[in-house]
Amino acid sequence: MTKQEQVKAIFIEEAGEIIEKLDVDILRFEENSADFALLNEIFRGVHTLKGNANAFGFTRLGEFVHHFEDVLDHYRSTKEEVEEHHLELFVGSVDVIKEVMNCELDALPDLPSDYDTYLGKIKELISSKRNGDSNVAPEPFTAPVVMMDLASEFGLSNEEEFEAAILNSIQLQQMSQENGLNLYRIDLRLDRDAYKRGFDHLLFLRLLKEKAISLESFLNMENVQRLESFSCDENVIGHVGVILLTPQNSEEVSENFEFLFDHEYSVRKIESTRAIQEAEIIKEPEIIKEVEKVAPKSVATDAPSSPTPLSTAKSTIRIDTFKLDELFDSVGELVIAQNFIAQNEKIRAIEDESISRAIETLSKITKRIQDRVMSLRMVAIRDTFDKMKRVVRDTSKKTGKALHLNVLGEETEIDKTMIDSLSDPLIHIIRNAIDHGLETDEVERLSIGKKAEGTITLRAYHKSGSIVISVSDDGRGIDKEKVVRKAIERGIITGDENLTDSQIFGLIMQPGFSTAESISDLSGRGVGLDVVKTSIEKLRGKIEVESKEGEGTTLSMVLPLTLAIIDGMLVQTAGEIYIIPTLSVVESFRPEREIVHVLKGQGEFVSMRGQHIPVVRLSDVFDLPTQRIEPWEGILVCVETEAGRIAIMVDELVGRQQVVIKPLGKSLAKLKEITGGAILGSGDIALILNVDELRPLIEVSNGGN
Amino acid sequence: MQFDGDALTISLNMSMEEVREFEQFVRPRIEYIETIEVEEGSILKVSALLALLVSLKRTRPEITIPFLERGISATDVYGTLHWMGHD
Repeated sequence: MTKQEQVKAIFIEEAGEIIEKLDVDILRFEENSADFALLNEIFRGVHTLKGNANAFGFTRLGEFVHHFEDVLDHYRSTKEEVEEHHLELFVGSVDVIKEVMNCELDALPDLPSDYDTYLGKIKELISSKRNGDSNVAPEPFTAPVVMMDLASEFGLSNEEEFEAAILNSIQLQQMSQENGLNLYRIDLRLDRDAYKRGFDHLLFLRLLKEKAISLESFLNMENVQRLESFSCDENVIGHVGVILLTPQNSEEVSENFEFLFDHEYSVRKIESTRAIQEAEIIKEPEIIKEVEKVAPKSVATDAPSSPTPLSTAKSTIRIDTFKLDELFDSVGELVIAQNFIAQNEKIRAIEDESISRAIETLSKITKRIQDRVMSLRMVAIRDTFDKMKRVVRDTSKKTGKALHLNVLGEETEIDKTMIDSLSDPLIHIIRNAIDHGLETDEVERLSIGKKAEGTITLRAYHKSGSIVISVSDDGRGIDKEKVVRKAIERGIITGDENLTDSQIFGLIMQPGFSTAESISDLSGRGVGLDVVKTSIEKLRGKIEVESKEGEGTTLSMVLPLTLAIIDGMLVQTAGEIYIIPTLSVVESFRPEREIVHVLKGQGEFVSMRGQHIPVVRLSDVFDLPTQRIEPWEGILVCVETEAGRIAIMVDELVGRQQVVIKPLGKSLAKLKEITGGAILGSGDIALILNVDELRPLIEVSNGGN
Repeated sequence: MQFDGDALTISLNMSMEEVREFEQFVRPRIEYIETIEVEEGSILKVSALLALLVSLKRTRPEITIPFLERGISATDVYGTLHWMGHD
């Protein structure tokens, strides 16, 4: 990736974050349009987005946000309450911003269909406001008073705002600064007679650009006067800040200004973020002294001799998740190595207290490192839930159903990788809950004694080492008879099955199933919930459905804490160790002889609480040579699978352990009964079972009977 | 430089001398100018022209100067230029 591409990637990421925040904030503002602090927050986001978009040539985005910013600026500076119909314009404008951003990223020639409509409405609004409030012409740049207010709202003077823009540029350059390149800040304050002496700011910029990898300059035009006091022969550009990235050293850069007076320029080298961090870690003050750094404060300073390091203002840094994954892998190896030492027979045979203590300390430290690295990947689910508020709002408006949203457990933390894959399933479940779960209208709700307003509850919580994210509605509940009838019609079941409630509810997630009377653009196409189910299963999770007719439905996504580690039950059969994901384990037991049955042509079953559960012999699945024993001589591990419960027969249980998942090689990856592998403390490799693929092998396991 | 009705089109490639001439031209006509466009592909040569455009805008805010209002110019010659405090 080139330097420019890296900077652009940072911009794209930041712009994405700003837009996501706008999406949430605009809804909060819609709920409370008198919250001018929030309006300021929105304004600042739009303002930053405008600057960045223009800087990267995303002019169509820049144009739109520029006018949107004008509207926001009007309301925040006049403190005029936003009219309800204009709130809708605000919300729609954020949608357009999102779409334009996508067009810009994909370099699409066509703009979103709403672009011109919303831009027109925005311009119309600002024009009417300006004409109405005063007789100022509707041009956005005709209101210096308003723009001055912008700076005062930020608490910044013009020079401070100027300084903030320079610092922002420095930070962007620092983040992707490569070895061998030097970053400089150059300040030009040419005297008024500079032009007469034959100098011009642009002359210096042209010289610098010849050797530059990147050059960004900021011209402060604040001192330029009206024509009556202006003469183009006099330099009135008081200050030009230049950020230069170049392979040249300080002397070479300074040579460009050798004919200027000393007070007219300054060249300061800026360390890369990495160098600053390293300097802080090794705490060598002389390194700090060697290089001048730029003060993070936004106040302009004429005294560059006492700057503060930029790094002191930063409390967070961005890290590529790929690097985190690598770190996590390495820690996984460390855990394995530590286990190997702790469980090694030869080491354990050494009867030396100091060695035992050292191993114990190593074990504790390793665990602590593992926990801390794990925590780096964990983020609160709040942002995802915030996005869902918009989904609820829009769906409520589209369906015309009044509803109240409850959000619980926003602080629950979940693996970042998983969060990214959760939005789509969650959106679909929420739309489904509103569209199909809630009663058609208030009349229907009131007629059965419910409140007119429906309730959707979004909740996240920990349960038995897993994360549960649930969506509940207080609507009709699932009509089991209707579900069964539809499933028969669609050929999903024959009707002869004796299905439990949970199996009936599970039918709604079968491909092609839909009980919706009409197909809407929200849900009801019968392609939704099965896709949701598949998405969640890809995350090694599962969906549980609970429903009571007339009272409501809860769909819960049960997910592992992380994708990198699995909580597994270690079992042994024919001398080999296998891992069963604990999430799918219901119970394990040695069965009484009386509850084991063999049905001719159908294999072995175990009776549990009135259910006949098929027995799957693991040794048969993997064709392992072993002395055949009866089920009541072994151990059965009952697991929940897509197709219902099965009992996996093993020789013995080894224990429960968290293991780091390792991908399998190409040859083993073809085995659908296995999802991955793990290295145990002993150094042995254990395979992780895909329990959903074990059931079809019943016939195989019956082969010996 | 072209003056078409109330719209003026200028080249950014003006030398210092040309900027002086432009300043002299525009001073008595400022009330009649509605728009100042710049020729496509032209690049600023001297910073005095940018200062003059800012001064014109300050004197008569009704003038539309799209180039100035963009606040940014990116070229191979100077890299990225931002002008601030011009409005």
